[in-house]
Amino acid sequence: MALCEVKQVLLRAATDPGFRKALMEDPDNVFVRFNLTEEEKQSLRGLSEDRIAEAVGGPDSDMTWISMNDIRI
Amino acid sequence: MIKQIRLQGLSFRGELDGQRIDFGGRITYLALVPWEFCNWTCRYCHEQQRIKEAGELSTAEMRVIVREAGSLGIRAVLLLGGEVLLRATWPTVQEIVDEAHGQKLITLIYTNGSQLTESMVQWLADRDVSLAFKVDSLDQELCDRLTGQLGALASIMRAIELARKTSIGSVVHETSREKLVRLLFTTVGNALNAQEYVALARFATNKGARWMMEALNHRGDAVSHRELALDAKTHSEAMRIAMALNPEQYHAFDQPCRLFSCVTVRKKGQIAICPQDYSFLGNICELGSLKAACDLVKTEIERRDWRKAWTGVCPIKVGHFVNV
Repeated sequence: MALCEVKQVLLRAATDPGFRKALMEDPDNVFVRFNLTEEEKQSLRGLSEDRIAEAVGGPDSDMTWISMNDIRI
Repeated sequence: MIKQIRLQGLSFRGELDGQRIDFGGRITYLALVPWEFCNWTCRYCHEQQRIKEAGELSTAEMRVIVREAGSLGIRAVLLLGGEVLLRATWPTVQEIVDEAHGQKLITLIYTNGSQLTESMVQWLADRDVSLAFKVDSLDQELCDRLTGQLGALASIMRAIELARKTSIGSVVHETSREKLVRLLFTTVGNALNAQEYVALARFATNKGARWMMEALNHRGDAVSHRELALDAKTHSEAMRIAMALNPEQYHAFDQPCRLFSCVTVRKKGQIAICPQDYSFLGNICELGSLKAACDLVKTEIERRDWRKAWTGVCPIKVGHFVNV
């Protein structure tokens, strides 16, 4: 259930400025509190505030992702 | 600066330099399904079709189709199975790829990679082929479970590394904003691997590959394997997070799906728009030419109004989820 852990990190980063600062400045120290794969840790490194907000999304954002398929590009 | 990753075969070199392709005006892709048998038994795959049947296209007929594709200005041939790259089918694959290469078409082959050898991959690399590997999970147990194959993950990793040792692992073209590659990792999203989208997208980026999500095939076995049935909200949320955290793999959906510019020819000559569309429009053996098949597809796209009505949601895939 790794996505649950990623979501926890993101949600807390979006709502807790202290946690967000720690994630942005010293992510490895944050990661020890979560059960994340190496790829997930890499994905969570170097995030900007905008990207955190984007990842957390808004109430209308979900269904637009229903059929992402790179043949469109 | 983050560079978005694009795949040669679905995208084209000139596009990175600003060239516009008229996807609405002409058919750009030929998706050819030469057979549907496979050496793996993925749970979500349409089991009843994974056999050799009477009336399948001959190698000579497929070569004629590919040759005509070249003369019609089609740019890429997508070879999908079943499993395309089997030892037993290799001579046929070589004939089709040689024909496509001779016609200056880009070939993209979808494969599980299980029977890929160093010499096969080098042969493909020399003909400018792009390879799409199935990567459904980075968890060994789940990967084996989904593919019905013990050791599947190790087998996939072996094949990916073989490909990366050739020019297939190299960047074809690069600008300040984008890079074109020849390696694609495809994931069939389902209820068991939706938790892994972030990791799978990052894994592809780490390997210099484009990542592509195909939510559970609507002809797949979610009906008989309910544990695979994907909830739309779960999938969408997982995709949103995966793309936000892996911007190299993100592309805006403002343009209609490129497969609206595709003609699919299945193993017995059945014509469809997209390889995932099983509403056949006719049969190339009866129509007599690929041009006639392309005309049929263009007429059908217009009739369904899919381009103008594009909302970012695939009209075929939208029905794949359990709560849509």
